[in-house]
Amino acid sequence: MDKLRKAIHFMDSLGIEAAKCVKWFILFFVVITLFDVALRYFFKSPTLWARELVALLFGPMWMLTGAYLLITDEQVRMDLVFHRFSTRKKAVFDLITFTLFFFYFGAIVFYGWQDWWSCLINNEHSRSVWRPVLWPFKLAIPVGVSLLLIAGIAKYIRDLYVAITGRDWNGN
Amino acid sequence: MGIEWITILLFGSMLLLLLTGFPISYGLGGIAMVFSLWLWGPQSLFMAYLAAVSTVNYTVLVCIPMFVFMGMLLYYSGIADDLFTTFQYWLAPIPGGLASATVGVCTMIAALVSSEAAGTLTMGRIALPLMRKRGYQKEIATGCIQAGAALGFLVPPSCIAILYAVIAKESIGRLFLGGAIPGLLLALMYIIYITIRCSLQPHIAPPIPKEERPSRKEKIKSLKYLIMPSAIIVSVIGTIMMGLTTPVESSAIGVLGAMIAVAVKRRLNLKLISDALMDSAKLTAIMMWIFMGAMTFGQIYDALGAKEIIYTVTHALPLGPWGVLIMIQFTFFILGMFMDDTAILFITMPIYIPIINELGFNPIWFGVLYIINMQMAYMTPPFGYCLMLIKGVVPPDITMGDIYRSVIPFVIIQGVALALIMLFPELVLWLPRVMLGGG
Repeated sequence: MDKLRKAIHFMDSLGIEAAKCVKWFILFFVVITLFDVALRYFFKSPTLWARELVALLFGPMWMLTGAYLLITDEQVRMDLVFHRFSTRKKAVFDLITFTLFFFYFGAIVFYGWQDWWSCLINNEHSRSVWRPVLWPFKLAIPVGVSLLLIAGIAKYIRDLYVAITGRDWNGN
Repeated sequence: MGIEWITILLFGSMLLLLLTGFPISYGLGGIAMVFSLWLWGPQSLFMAYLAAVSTVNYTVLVCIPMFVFMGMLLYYSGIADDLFTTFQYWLAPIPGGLASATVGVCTMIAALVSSEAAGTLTMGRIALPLMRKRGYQKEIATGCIQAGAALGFLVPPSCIAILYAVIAKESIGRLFLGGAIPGLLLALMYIIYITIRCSLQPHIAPPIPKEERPSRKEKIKSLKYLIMPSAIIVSVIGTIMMGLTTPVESSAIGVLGAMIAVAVKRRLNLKLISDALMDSAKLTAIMMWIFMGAMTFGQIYDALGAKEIIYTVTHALPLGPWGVLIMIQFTFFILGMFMDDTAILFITMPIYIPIINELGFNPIWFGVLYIINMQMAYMTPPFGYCLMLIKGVVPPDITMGDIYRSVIPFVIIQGVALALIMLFPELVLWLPRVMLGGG
């Protein structure tokens, strides 16, 4: 049981740490954009890459925050009935509905890695003047959704424990 | 099975799933994929990935985390406390002055912070205790906070306006400007209502005794608190208005302004930046994941031909353009009971915007109507987001019933404003036309 707890904790920490890294992208967007604006207005020579780089990194930013939202339970829910349920009942409902979650994101991950692989071996470049290589940016969807699935598996195991034992995950 | 039945089944099962408390973003995509598997077989699961790719390609939305970041920095900097001092000093002599000051500060905050939660939480913390201490009745005290905070949807920069503009393929700048006058109009209507009501019924908001009112010198001195916020508003909205920068660039300039404001207040530190970044990343991700789910859902009902069904149905109904417009707003009202604004936007707009264009209505104006509808939805149960937020900050002697009652007059005012804007589209369209030209 202790080993399982540790494993689950590790799975959660992956998503949390990923989000803690990519949040700095926002500051990076600000700096790069300001840099570009300054070059344009004061030196009349905007960069060719600033706008595109910011655009390419936006996807990874929110994609890699997805697992964090699941772990900290900050997703938007309708929650008209649900919040009145006991912890155990909630867990049982989640066990049923989260099969959909695995089905949906499983499909994305499957095609996501495939597409990423073809992008890598074909050495695809963006069709702009700057022409950056695309595979690092294309990692956003497969990695982001993989992290989400890992967090989902951790949640599923916790819910199973709660549903079977009727105790909450932290042991009381 | 007929296509009508599949449509009903699709929407029905989604609603049922969401009722169990399944997150909206997963629910939209999950249900869509089940239907896709059932209707078209396993190859169609590729659509889930395609929808994810098209969501990632909406790169203009990168201005959202930056606008939110700017707002969060200012929120943590305590700029609202200063603003409240200024407004409160100047509005002290008029009846219900504190409540009007709250609305005023909320309007300023709305122009700085693009999250409506910030207004509720800050004013709940600073304005509410003061109003209660001065003997204001609960209804007026909590009502004005919620009405003011909900202005965050309308006053630029607003996330929902950005999302609408992107979906409707309209300019973000135009939508921002379109929301400005209706936002100010609403704020003015709230203040007029508060002043009239409080002068007729002085007991609900006792005036501040003469000897406790601030001196002229204090009043003049307090004006300095307006400098920084106004400079930021001008640098962000102003640059968009003049067409000098794109929204993405304006948002970056706004962050710079906010950083300076926080530094001037000597509160700039790594922890504050790190917290503000986390909040911004979270809020953006929440929206984008719902967007992704809705894209998947949208692709399925596109493939089903559900768009055409809704299209033919609206044409077959003997309503005329205005009838259709009112019916559309009624669906916002109904959906607003179950879902949040972003989900409603992503699900309905791909269907509604073509209809609106065909009927000859202006999509910018329609967007503003939608935003006011969402404002009202947020202030009415059962999915009254503002109501739940304020419940979290009020002292326990204010019950949920008090909060429900407190918003009634303000929701009526919003209804009046909605009618005014429907009757006089120029309220929305004039400013964008004057500033940015064109129709």
